Amino acid sequence: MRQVLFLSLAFLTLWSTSVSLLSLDKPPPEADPNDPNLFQFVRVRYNGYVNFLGSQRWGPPPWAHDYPRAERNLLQILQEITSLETTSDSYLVLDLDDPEIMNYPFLYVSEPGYWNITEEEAANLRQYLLRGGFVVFDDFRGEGELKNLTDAMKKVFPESSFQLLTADQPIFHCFYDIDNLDMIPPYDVPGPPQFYGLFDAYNRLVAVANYNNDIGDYWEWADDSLTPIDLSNEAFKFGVNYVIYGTTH
Amino acid sequence: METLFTFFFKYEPFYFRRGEFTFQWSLDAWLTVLILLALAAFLFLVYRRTFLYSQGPTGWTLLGLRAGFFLLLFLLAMRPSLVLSRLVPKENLLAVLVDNSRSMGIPTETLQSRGLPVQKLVEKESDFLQALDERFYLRLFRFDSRATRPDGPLELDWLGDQTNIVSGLEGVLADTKNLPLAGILLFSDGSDNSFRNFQEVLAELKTRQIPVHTIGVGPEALSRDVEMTQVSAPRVSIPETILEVRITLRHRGFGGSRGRLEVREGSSLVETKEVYFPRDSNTLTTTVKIVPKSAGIKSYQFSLQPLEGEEIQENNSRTTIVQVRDLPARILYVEGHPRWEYKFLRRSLVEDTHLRLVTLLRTALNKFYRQGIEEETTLATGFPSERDELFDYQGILFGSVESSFFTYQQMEMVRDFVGQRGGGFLMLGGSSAFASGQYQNTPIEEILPVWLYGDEEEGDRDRSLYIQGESKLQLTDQGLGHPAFQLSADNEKNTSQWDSIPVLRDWNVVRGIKSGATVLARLDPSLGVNPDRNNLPLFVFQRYGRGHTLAMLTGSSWQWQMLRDQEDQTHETFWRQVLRWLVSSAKDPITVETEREVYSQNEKVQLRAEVNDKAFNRINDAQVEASITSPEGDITTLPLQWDAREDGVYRAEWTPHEDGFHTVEVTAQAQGLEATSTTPASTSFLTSTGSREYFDAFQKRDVLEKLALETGGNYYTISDADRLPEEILYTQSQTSVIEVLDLWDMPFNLFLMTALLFAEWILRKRQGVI
Repeated sequence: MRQVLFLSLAFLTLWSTSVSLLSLDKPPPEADPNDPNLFQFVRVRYNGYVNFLGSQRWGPPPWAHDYPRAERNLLQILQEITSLETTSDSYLVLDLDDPEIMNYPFLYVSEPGYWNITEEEAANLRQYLLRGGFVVFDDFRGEGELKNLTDAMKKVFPESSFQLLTADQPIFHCFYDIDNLDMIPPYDVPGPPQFYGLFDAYNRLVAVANYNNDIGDYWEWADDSLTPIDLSNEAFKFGVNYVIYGTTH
Repeated sequence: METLFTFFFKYEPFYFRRGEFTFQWSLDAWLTVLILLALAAFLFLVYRRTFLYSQGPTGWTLLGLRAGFFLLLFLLAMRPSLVLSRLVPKENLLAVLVDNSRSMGIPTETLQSRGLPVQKLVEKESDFLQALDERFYLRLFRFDSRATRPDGPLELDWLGDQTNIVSGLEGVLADTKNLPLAGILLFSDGSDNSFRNFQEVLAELKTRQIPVHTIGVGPEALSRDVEMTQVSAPRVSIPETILEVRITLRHRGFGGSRGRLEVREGSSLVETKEVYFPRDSNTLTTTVKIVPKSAGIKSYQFSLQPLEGEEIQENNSRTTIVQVRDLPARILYVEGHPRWEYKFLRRSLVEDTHLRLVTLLRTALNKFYRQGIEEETTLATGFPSERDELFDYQGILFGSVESSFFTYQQMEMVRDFVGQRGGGFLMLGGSSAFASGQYQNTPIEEILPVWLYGDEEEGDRDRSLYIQGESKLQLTDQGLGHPAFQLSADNEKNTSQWDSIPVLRDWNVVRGIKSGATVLARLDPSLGVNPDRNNLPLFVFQRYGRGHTLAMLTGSSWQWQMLRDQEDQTHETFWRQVLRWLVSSAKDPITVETEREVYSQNEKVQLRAEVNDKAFNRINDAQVEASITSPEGDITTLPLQWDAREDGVYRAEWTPHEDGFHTVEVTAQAQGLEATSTTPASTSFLTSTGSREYFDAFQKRDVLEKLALETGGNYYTISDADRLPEEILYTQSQTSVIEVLDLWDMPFNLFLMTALLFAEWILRKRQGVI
């Protein structure tokens, strides 16, 4: 039974990787300069990842995990359900040290456990957050990856640390009322999913981190039968709330 | 010149001005014509031969000269004369009314005080008074804010705090009621600062046929002086607002000089500015900015450091009062969809405790997210549908939300919110705002300062009404000076901050600007967005009824936050200023005000209160009471009476007797007012001794001349005053008699006759017609 499960997982991993690679053949869409006021889902591209063979040539880089189907599906949901002005193509990829990120006050970072932050990125991200930007960290698990993220964010925000969020935080109620944070992760993770938040000097939430979780994975496979619809639905609730919170707070 | 005139015409010009020219000829008109015809026939017969000898122009000239001589002779025979009304000496009363205000004590270039010549004229047993005394029974008065008749001689000290000519004349008229008053001699510089209307006293003077002879005192213009003529500042504000104060200085003799302007809040120096007096204009208008930090009644003194050789230094400063309110202003912001403009607008006010932004955001169809609400019930049912609830705000913002979101009644309420309640309305740009939000032909378009494109107009269907693209804002001159656009208390810094403002990313297109609206900012044409879109307005405002509206034709001011360093406060300051200005026109349901901020002691202060219920319906049957606290802490209470001419308006008068700040609080009680704020309405004013006397402190000759003209009197300069005792005898009065002055024996007549004969003789001699 275990072997079957392992093979299935291996197959799924291979398949998802190939799908992702195929997707990456198409260059990330540029932000439409004629349509800048639409909500744009910006995925952060970062360096520092080395795969287990010591090379970057094999497999999608961690920042691109779930790309672009995750954002496409989330944007589709946002467009359908909320009054947010966006389209399913309103997504783009930017480097953290790119000043262009200032035009898009919502960022998504995938696999921050592999994020090797540079000084320029830290400085730019600090400016970004203090000016009013909002960041979502997703798709990381285990204490090592959490430490990698918290260490990186210490360079950005030395005066503040991630705090465990509880369900009474406004971010969980600004669109959907999410009263229970006990979420089932899309695959095995070292511990229960938790939600961390980073607050600025005015106690404003500027970043949220989905620890031991991969909400983007749910978004990515929502149009497939790989994940139960209820779980995908829950993941979308988080995604919608994050975006609404980012545009209102 | 006058002596020459008197030599030729026998009498001084005054008699010709006052008298009526007539002929004392008693024959009938037909007889006069008959005599004239006979005279003409006689001339013709006698001079026929002469005329025949020299036909042509010479003959006619000779005939004309001789005819002129006889005609003049005939006219003199008709006894030309002047008829004048002359008062019978010692049968009338004459009032001498002397200005005793501080302005009369101002030194001139040659005199210790401008009133000194007057003092010499009216001192005991002066020649002038004696000359008057020979002709009239005299009553001497001095006046400042009112007239006083001393028992003894006039003792002028020039310490009066006000020049109130109307009160002075009223005092004389009251004192001489039922007495034959032949006239009033008014010695003054005419610099009335009582703001009283002359109509009533003029009517009484005319009815009683009392001429006022005015004697102008003091220079008609100052040669070296700078005067702060006006300080314009808001009377009510919110803490931490950058207030622009406009200061006007009038200068003479200092063109090309520099001066130093100082601003003091209480006794603390808060701002200084160097000013340059232009050579080509006598007026200088400059602005300074003040930022009241906390709530309370703030007094700001604006003063120009005295310049060397200035004639009057007391007119270099003015004080203004700003009532800085403690209560946060409530602003309702309705947004149609989550967007960055919404987020960053809210964020810009996070530290501002004086503005409360209550937001209603539509996050999905029929799903709303409320922020900034005080109670769970606030906006629980969506946009307010009752006036009470809506009028509890001072400002309303419409974001990118289409008109169909509101009912027609709700839009009418918003219109009344601005027009009747005096609230501020702002529409932000966006994909569902202005014409893109279908606001054409709605009550909202009525209050907007811009005209919207409508679908019905030919060619407009395909017009893009909401443009997305990079562009930059350019302030107009009006924008640079507008309170909403003050990013810094420093003018130069403010300009440079606007010059370097980050780009915008969208704008709404409008059909035009309404007449009466002001464009505060446009798209920068240098960016060449599109040739036919250059100069598009971005910020336009107008007054509407009691309030005002602002069209902000973009929804991307959030870029000013994200594209600037995190420490940069441009975006935050911009929104604080805009929203502070927006709510500045909104008044409380119960208000009280005085017509001015600064009064003299003993000057009547007019209180005006307005009483509304929470829905801003005027209340006429309220019990309104004012409580006035003097600088010493004494409290006076007085009722205010309903003014039947205006709904909801109550008035009272009160006279302060102390110098300093007075605070007025007004409460109103009536049915329907229970729900209205229990906080009393308040205002304040300053009483200051004499300071106003030094402003506009030059002789107002036009005022004095007009007063004399209207009442049948004459204007005199102080140097002409010695003529006055005789001339004022010729005044129409109940006791005057008619005096006829013959003119036939004027030397000029003899001169004219001789000239005619001499001319004829010369001509005859030249032509040989003798």
